[in-house]
Amino acid sequence: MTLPETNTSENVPVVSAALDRTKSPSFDEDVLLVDRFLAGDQGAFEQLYARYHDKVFAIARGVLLDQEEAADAVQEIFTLVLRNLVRFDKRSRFSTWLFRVAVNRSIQQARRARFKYKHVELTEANDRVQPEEPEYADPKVHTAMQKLSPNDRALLVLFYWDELSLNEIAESLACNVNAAKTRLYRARERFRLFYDEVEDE
Amino acid sequence: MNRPSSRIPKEIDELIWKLTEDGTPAAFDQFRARYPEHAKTLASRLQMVDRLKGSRPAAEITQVPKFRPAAVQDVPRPFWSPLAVGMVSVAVVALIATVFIYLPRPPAPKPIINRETPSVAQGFVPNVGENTKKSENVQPAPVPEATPVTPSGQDGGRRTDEIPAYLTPQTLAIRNAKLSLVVQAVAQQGKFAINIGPGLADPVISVDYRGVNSIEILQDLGRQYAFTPFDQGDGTVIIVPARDPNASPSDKSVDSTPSAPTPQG
Repeated sequence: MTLPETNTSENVPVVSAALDRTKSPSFDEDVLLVDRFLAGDQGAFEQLYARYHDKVFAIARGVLLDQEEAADAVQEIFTLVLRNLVRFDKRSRFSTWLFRVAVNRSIQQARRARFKYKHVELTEANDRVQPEEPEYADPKVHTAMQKLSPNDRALLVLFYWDELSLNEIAESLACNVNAAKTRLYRARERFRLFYDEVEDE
Repeated sequence: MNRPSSRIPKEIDELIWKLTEDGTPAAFDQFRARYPEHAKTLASRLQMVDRLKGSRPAAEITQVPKFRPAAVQDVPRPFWSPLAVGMVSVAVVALIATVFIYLPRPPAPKPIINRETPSVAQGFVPNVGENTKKSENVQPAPVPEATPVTPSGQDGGRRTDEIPAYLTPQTLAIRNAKLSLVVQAVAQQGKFAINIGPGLADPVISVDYRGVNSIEILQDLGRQYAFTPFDQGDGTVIIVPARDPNASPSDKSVDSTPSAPTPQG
């Protein structure tokens, strides 16, 4: 693509920033915290939890579209991480591994919720108190997101809300970069269609 | 759905998505200049992505809740999942069985039969108009080339039953018989009719040919007893009591050289 002006001098800070981020203290500190936890320091896990709670919550909420369910999902996600931290092989960043767990668990929850709501009896559904819709800055976006599948929502959340790179998304979804790119393109197209539908309504 | 994006080429659509990701104002201007018809699409797409990015839920949680390990339950599979697996398995097995039973199999390879006629036939195949014309002008028939006719069973598996009888190697041994009878016998073995022209000398001869076809026998006899066989093209050979002036002695060179006929008086 030639349209965006790419200047070598402009790229230097970007590359430097990327390298700096890879070598950032937080990256090393994650691994150190993991090692400390594995050595028996429970406080190290609390630190990891505090550091990544918001991001994991954002993923869960973006996929589940429900604040309470997202809060529960966050606890489940960190419980899974706590159980399986021994299996973390440190080949990828801790955050990538964590996001993968978060995405998978959130998608599973969303599917389960959808399946559950599909089988609610009509009378029961009428009696049910409608849960409050979470506050979104843009209801149109929220409606379009609701129409998407959990997988598509996860992709958009990771890319637009958590601003992960395609490489990071690929690692989080356990696929290669090209597959992630294709899936993201399709998810965006579906979102656009639903968004336009909402606009027409 | 008649959306603006569905009308534009995929390349342009991808370009617009790319611009919404990391486009610069200069890139936007360049796009609008190059694709003015899609400028509106770009604008609406940019607005949509801005709204999507801006709708990220604000962090209402000011304080991170304390971590309390949850009883994580495995997400139960839908009740129909084992049923679906079973049905798919049955379908696959049925498909394989159907293919195995009903799909036509390739036929067994047939033995390769070489139906080529040996080159010796080129000179004496009946129905050759040129031969007929020559006979009208009392020209000698073309003498078959002295290519050896391979006896049956020595041709590498070729089927000799495809070869005409007059080209099939034969054995002919006659003692003390008139030339006309010998010629008749040759014609009988070669399965063609023969007409003997008037004036042919009819001496008593003995012949002993082995592994030589009828045509070669006639030609050899003709050289010996001053006659020339002419093919009429209709399965008939005329014996003209005259020597072929164009026939060379080298034409006689046949691998299985026939024994010279012996005139008996």
